[in-house]
Amino acid sequence: MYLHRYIWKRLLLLIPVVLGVSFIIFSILYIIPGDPGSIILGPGAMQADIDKLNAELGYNLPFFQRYFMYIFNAFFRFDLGISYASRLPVFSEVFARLPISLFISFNGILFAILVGVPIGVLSAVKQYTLLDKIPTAISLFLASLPAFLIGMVLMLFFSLRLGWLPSNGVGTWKHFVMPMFALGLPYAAQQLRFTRSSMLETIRQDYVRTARAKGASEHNVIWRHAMKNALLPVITVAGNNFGILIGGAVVTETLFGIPGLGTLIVNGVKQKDIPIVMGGIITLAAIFSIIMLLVDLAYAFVDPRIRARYASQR
Amino acid sequence: MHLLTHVFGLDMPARGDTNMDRTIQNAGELVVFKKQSQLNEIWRRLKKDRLALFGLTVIVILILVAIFADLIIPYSAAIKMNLRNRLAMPSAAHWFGCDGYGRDMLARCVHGTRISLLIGFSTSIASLIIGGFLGSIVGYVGGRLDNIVMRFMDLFSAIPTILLALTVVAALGSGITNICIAITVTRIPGFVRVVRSSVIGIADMEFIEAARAGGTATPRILFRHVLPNAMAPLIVQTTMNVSIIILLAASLSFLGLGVNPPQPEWGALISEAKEYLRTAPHLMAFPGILLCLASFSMCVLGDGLRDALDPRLKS
Amino acid sequence: MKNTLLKIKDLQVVYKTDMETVHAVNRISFSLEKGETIGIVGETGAGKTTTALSILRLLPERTGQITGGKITFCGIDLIKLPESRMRDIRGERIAMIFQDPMTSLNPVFTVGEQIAEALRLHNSQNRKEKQIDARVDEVLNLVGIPVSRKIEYPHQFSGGMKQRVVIAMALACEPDLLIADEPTTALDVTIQAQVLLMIRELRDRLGTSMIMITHDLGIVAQTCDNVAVMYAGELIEVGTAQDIFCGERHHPYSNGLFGSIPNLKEKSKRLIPIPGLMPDPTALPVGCSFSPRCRDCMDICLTKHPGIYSKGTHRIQCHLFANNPDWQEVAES
Repeated sequence: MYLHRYIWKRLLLLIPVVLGVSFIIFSILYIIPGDPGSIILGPGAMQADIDKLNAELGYNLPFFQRYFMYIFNAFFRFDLGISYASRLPVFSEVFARLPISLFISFNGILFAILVGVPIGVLSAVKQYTLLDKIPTAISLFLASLPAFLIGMVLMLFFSLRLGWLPSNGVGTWKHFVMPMFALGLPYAAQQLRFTRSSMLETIRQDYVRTARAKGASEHNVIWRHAMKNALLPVITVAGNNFGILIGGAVVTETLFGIPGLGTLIVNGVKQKDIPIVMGGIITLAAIFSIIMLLVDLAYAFVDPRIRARYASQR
Repeated sequence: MHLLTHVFGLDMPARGDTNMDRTIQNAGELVVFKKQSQLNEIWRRLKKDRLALFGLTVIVILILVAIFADLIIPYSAAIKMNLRNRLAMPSAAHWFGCDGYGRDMLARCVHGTRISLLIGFSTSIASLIIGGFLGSIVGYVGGRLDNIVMRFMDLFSAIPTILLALTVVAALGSGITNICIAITVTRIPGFVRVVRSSVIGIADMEFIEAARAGGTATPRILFRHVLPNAMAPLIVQTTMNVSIIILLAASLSFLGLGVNPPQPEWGALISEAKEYLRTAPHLMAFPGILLCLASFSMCVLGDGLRDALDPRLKS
Repeated sequence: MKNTLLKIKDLQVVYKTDMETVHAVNRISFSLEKGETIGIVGETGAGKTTTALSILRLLPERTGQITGGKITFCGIDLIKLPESRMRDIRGERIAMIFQDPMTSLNPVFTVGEQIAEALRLHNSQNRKEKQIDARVDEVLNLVGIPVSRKIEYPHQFSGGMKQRVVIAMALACEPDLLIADEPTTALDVTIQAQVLLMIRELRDRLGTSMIMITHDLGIVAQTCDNVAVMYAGELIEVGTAQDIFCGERHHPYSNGLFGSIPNLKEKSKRLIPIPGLMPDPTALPVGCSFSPRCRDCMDICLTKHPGIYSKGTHRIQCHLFANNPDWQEVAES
């Protein structure tokens, strides 16, 4: 395809973004009081041992050197350091739990898109009728609810009262149903609202009127002419909101006792386990950036205006 | 030279009784009258949006509860443990029942309202001030500084909000002040963008016009015209942010990284309720409803304000 | 009689919102013969576009309503036609082109695809894909666009070229009637001339009848056989181009229109605009709607709605012609 240039350009852009993001996180965590030696060896340890450990971990080196060492280790040696708490390599801990977290997140997004977008379109097409008013009202309400509250209500009914679904841990597909709803519902509500407004705006465009003047049926006008245009911004917004979803995933994991990356990070924060926190958050942030890249590329594939721009640069 | 100052300055009395002076004075009055009726117009439009009005009412009630919390029920009731009342159901003595430690839920909810709203509004205003300051400098100066700062803001936005907040909490620890700082950090890029675009848009127009008017461009004139235009998106942004911040703070508290126990905060209360979900769901219900109400109200209020302030609707 | 393509009688259109009713078109009548062109002239807000949309029944669903009158196209009553049959007519027998070419084309489909769609929607001759393709090429040639460009997207064309595409799309099915709503207003003056020339040539070549809506008297003079002047939703003067441009007497509004055009040959210090503004369509004045602005306003103009007076092909709606022996009052049926 002609989009090679665009793809390469965006891929290249990914590197400074990931570096920048890791720099910010590294810097924030740098200001933590207390040295790793004391934290790992605990109170009552000998000062000499603490100093030795600190030197080993490179604690006394200047800021930028530590940063570059960290980046170098992370990207070329896949070494994200050692967890203070468990003494295991951070990399293995993070990547052992990553799949589950990603699975939950994707469930959430899939749910949100499959529910939010079609209803949003329906709502826009049937504007002013009940089919519009009800979804709009419900989505307004849902969009301002936190995932953990929805999760707890679901838990109350489906787990504790009705006993249909398990409330904790992982194991069967049943374990993933409530997390999917808890994560997906607020996000679906947002998607619905945005899809609806995008669709409403598109239907008012001149080219829709032209299509009608050509003798196209309402059905044709909406599904062929309006949809494609209306869904373009929806793609971008979906990608953007994914970041919010990742955040929600962290809380949802904690609520449902799922041993994912989110719980790992939260425990790391509580225990001041800096390597885990740093490694975990940077990994998630990097993944988010990659997702954004994919969304941009998808958008470029679909929107002929961007396609043509890069095609003509051959 | 004085015509502009007369018309927009409004502080110099008409010199004489000529037609010119009367016209100037009338024009001055016209400007004042216009501003007054603009505010009325905005309020009228907002009133028409019943949902926004509902939101406004609810949030005002909650704010009053927060301010007069101590008068409604003393703070001591919120933290006093009484194991005999453990998990008591709602009754005359304890309207909202009691939690796992026998603490009165009504008291905890009322003071939780104070704490949650305090976090919400103060953080939003802090982000507004810092982000606004940064945004106006960057928008005004432009150039390299603008580029660097905006790239930086983009990087911050590339980190999912909760993760960024968690990073700061990891660095500073938990507690009210710390989570306020953490959340402020995540909200700043949004404000910087809004203020920056307002400043850029307006600086373009007003500076050129004012320069042409012969150097009568006092900062006061600019403030009278810059401010009203910049205010609208800022007000909306601040309002919507309160909703987001309240949810974020609740999430952090739910994770156990927010306010320190025994301080009541909606998220913390909901987290505490989790253990007793089966036996005492009311522990989750009350703070949960309050959280929903607050977040939803600020959200629809922000929506309503955005519509009411939209210059395109000005007739 | 036999050749009458379009006949509009006493058409009334309103826009109804919760707050007010806008009287956009107030009992207009005109007819168009096969192969002829009529220009509808008037200021913005006179009701020209509304008239055009009414013919094709493209008024906004919720607010626009045809409240009276009859539109007959080749003997078919368009107002009473069921929607599915109306769709058959749209694009195939009556085509419309709109004012702004920048936004009239769908940005995500190729130009060729959009023209082909017009053909596919009305495939009464059951053309095969190849034939449709050939027709698309044919019609692109007609408007002067290289066939190789049919795989390009609208944003890759300039304004004038886009309008040509729109015209190609409209003419693809060889409609009997083309309605052009200010087709050149959004274009540069030089491009305007090119597009107008092309429209004229096409009309001559294909014999398409046309309704040309514009506010520019110059365009009307160049392209139209007949002229109708519209004001506040009424046709206050109708006639052949000869009647309107060379006739001796006119409606005061038309006089005002001509007077406000700068004349290259004469020397004058000031242009003479028509004072005032068009009346509020939600509250039209009693009597003649032009009376507030008319220099020759008489007492009767303020109270009684003027009748229509004709002299040959020339029709004027004004009390000034009531007692003129040359002009006969047209009976309203």
